[in-house]
Amino acid sequence: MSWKTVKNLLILLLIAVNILLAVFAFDYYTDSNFTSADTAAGAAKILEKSGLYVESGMLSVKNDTAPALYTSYDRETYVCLVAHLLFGKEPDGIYMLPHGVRAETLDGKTAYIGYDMSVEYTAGENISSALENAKSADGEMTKAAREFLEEKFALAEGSIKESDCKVSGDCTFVTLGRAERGLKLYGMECTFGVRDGEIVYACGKYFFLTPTGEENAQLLDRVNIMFSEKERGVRGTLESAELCYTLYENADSGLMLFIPSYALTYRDGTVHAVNGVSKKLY
Amino acid sequence: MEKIKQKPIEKIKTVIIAVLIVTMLALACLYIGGAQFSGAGAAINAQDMPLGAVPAGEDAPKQTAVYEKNLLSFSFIGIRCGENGGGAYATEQAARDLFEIALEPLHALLSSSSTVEKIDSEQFESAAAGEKYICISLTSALPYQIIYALSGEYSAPFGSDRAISPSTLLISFDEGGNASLYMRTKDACYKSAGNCTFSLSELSAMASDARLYDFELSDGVAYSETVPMARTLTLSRSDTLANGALESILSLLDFGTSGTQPMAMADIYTAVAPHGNLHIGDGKVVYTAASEGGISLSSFLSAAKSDLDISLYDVLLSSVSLVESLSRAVQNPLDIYIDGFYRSDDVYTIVFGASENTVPLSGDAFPYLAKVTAEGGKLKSAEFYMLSADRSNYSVSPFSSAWEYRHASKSAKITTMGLRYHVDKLPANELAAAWYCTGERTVEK
Repeated sequence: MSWKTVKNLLILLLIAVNILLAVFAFDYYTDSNFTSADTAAGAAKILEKSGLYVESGMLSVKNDTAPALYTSYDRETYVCLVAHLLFGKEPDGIYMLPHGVRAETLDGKTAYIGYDMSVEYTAGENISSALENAKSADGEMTKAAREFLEEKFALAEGSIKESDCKVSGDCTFVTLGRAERGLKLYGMECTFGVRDGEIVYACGKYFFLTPTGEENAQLLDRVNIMFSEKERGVRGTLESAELCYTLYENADSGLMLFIPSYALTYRDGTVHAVNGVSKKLY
Repeated sequence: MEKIKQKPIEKIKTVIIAVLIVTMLALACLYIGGAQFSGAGAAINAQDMPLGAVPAGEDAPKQTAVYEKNLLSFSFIGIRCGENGGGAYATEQAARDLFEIALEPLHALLSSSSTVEKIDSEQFESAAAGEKYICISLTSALPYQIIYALSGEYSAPFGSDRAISPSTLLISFDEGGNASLYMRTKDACYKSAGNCTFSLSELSAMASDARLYDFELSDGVAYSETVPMARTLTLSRSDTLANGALESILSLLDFGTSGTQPMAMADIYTAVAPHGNLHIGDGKVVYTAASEGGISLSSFLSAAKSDLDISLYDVLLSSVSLVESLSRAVQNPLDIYIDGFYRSDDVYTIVFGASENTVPLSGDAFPYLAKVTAEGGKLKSAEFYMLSADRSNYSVSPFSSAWEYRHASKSAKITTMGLRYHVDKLPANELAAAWYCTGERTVEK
């Protein structure tokens, strides 16, 4: 056999081996980053037997990825910071309550700041009635109010939607949610009232700190998450599964952790937030 | 030398071959190393959140210190203060109340501020014949460092060049309330004295507790004419794991669930990892480390530590943490106590016992609840017996300890005596507690 023929055969052989390897590698990466339609259909059937109805299309998706985020946090410092943010100055007194604190100023401002990030604050008696009026009003948010809120909460310009705003007289009420890396912080939604460049009302849950670092998080796929729901005995029809962040406090390390989680919404309106790493219910 | 000239087409073929070989190698690397390069996959296992991390707003569960876990087990406690005095078996609340108060002077007298000396048995007997003391019969002889760690917040126990493992403790008080600790081991007696004072009025009040009854103390063994009561137990080997238990055990011992290999027989699992192997079956969870392997003990501690920095106290904490986690995973129905702690060079062996209302279980079919060995800061082996227990609604009273002592001391010099459930076979129906004596030779009723 001549050298030329050997070369030709070698080229054909190498092409065949490369095609084979390319197919194997493609399959491997496809399988490891996607839940296949077969797996999803099989999982949906098993879940159905336990009374948990899930469209297989909701499971047959590319596996979600998101880093775990963290920021320094301790309760005492945080509540002082929030009180300062709401009052525009240092509080004159802070009183410990079982699940949070009551912060006060000498001029009569009082705010409840819960350790679960809940905030209740009304600067004056007429604020509540202004809020009631605002619900039926059609006013437009002033540029000053918008700029004030964007600066106060470190929001991107134009991130406050007009549909989230209600205006009553000189008071503007805005309902804000929190998001990091495009993912919502589960359960964080708060209505703030602004008047004359100061916050006069706050009601809801809001975490005011932004993450300072991140770590790789190995997320479970949706099939595993739904099986954890099955283990908990959950029954119902899943309407949507969205990746979000849930907040975990670690007093030992002085950190607030933003853990990628799944917000599972069922047809009856119940929402379960399931930790995407530990698959435990939040 | 004649130079071989290639035609252009041949040169192109050579280049193609080279490119194809490089591509082949790259694809092979990509495929073979895929598991390492890939960040996500269906085989990812659930991971626990870092210790202490709780949903925002919730309070982290209180970390119970090792001395708050009732791991120091005793069988009898007695007190004397002048004319008042009495004792109680550990099965009774009065005994547990008195024991809790006695832990404070006991801990202080084992601390580094105390000095220890060897004494003869006459000195011990002399202290036992005194007017003011608290005596404690431990269920098992334990090194004084472990008694120190299990009786209060750990700082530093006194130093001694001897291995002192007492089974009887006697805290003696002088007229000024200054306390001294007398310890009786299997073959020697020791006295520890330090700067520890105790309120004599409190001692007198404790000695007047109407729930206590008369007792005698002879050669370090306490006994009473009062007959204790203990519930009967129905015991059987537990071969099945509850839902999620296998996952918890695999996660605890650093095995991925993908390594689990169900065997031909039902409910038997084995798992193999580079650090060791795990066998769950025959009513036991058994971990055995590979010859150079093992799991770092620090992985069972709340704070990371180098294997080289693992102290005796860390060995205790990590083994307690491991056994508690296994106990939770297999839903162990019995209480846990430390039955033995041994050291030979760098090898530690910790034996955990199980008890029902402070009465320990032991026997051929259930020698201990768990046994952990550690070496060089690593877990080398762990064995955990899985048992299910049903408590009956009625109690059985054995003979009084005084009767038993008189009977047993005819044929042996008794050094320890306590109630035990003797488990010589499983299943065991309506097993009653009986006196168990040790001495120069074992006499068992």
